[in-house]
Amino acid sequence: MTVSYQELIQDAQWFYDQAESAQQSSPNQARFSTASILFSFMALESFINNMMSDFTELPSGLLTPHEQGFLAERAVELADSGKNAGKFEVTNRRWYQSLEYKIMFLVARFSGDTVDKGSNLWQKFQQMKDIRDLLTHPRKGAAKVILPVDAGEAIGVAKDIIQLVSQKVWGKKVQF
Amino acid sequence: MNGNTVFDQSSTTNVDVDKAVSDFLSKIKTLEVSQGNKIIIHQDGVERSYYIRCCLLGKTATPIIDLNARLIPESTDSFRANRELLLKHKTFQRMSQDAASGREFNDIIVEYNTSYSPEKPLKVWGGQHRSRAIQIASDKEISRYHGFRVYFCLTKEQRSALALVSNTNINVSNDLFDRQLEETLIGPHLRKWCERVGLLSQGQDFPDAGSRAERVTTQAGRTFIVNFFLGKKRGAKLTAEQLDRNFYEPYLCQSGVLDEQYSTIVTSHDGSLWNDKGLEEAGKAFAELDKAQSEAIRKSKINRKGFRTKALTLSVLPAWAYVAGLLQAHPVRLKNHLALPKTAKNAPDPLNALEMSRYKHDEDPPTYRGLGNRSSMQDRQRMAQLFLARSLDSEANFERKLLDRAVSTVRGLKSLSKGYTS
Repeated sequence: MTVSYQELIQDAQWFYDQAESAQQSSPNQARFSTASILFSFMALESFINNMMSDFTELPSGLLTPHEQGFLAERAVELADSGKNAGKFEVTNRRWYQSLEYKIMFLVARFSGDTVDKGSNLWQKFQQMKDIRDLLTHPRKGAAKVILPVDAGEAIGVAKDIIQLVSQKVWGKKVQF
Repeated sequence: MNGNTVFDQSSTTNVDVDKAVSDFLSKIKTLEVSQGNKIIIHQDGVERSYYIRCCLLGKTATPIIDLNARLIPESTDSFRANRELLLKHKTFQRMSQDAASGREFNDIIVEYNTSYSPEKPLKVWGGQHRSRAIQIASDKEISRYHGFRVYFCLTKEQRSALALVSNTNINVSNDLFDRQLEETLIGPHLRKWCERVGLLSQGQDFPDAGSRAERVTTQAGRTFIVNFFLGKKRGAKLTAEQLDRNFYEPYLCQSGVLDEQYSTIVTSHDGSLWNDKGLEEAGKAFAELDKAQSEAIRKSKINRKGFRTKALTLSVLPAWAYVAGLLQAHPVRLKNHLALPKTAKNAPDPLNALEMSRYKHDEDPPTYRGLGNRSSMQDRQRMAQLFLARSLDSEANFERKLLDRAVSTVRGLKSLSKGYTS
């Protein structure tokens, strides 16, 4: 059973509420805030990945092999044998894309518009993503105290990016 | 004018009407005539139809009331134009009790017409339930004077308008209006076609309230016809490869009026439509699907009406008919589409109604009730893509994977149309 991005946002909100009501500077406050940030990004990744999947179902010939490979997160290589020899084709080899690349591609390819990388929203998104990366790839000397305010920001950013992509690609807002 | 009648000052004198009124007054005993009063003939300002107001005793009216009024008197094919009587309804039971206690009713709308069932010349257009209550009271020997509005010499159009107007002050569904308009303006063709392909059984009529029935409504029948021909027109212009590179917009006929698109298609075919072989084959296949779906659900643990009538939903039916039309020029895929979907553990009924009801895409609001539940354009588009996707493979059924693929495809195609061209 897959969990929807709406449910993941609700989870993020629940952990945020717990963090807010936990004792200030307590371990629980940091735990709840951290969980909230991770759930916010899970919601965003879920939404973006599902949208990418939609486009992988398009009939052949409508997208280039490189676009298909990007959407399926598979490597594209020049075939050197068989009926496709000399043509680019999507392989089974995994080729993961970053979240911001996925967002930029979806908006540019399917709305005819581009992401405004100088906007406040994009700047905030980058900041929150750096925090999320610190949490998921911890290393010595890069620790940060995670506060409820960070969790609140992450929820806001996740929702705003989802709305941005939804409006650009689908032409409508989604409901949380 | 004879001695008993007079036209009111807003009415145009009409000899035929005067004759018909006199005939009525000579055969049927009214309170006014027995009291020596004049009968005023009125003319409706909108429809120009003629009528009188009079009072009849319950025992006089009872044997001559006809509750099966016809919109086209000369056609034996003309089915009941009025809604079914709700004899078990509490309101009717109360009405009946009141009549038996001596209640007098007023403004019962009837047409005096002796051209069919002449033994019952008062054809009831408004006040069927009151009329029936009067009959029941009369059987109990309770007979009071009741007020009638009696129409004379109605044209087809006037009769149809009267039937509609007489029903606007009670809770009558658009399905009844549709049925009345269909019979009057188009004729019995759609009903007969539905009978022939098995969507209606012999002698059965379209329901007067679709929400209570489990069979095709007039609106659904029209929608099927329109979509078949819209799909056929579009499909004839597409190559096999292009079929899946488009998303489609099945049409939903309006209810409560004679839909313009339907009217245009019927008129442009000049009668040949009802004998179109492709349409008939599609109709029969769809009737099979509807029947198989209903039977499968009846035998299942979750025997819900919405699941039994899944095929008749106003997103499933138009999409199915559209794809049947679309594939007329693509016989292999048409054969797959017309064949009953196979059932399996992951799709226990032909349309896999439970799985469809659980379906939700990321773009859907939390209140979305699943695939093929609503009649919105989005749902019709999705269902069309789903039927089109299944037509690719004779073994395919409506398992979850196919639902995902079809909805993703239509979503992707819609967005692709806005993006840059590679």
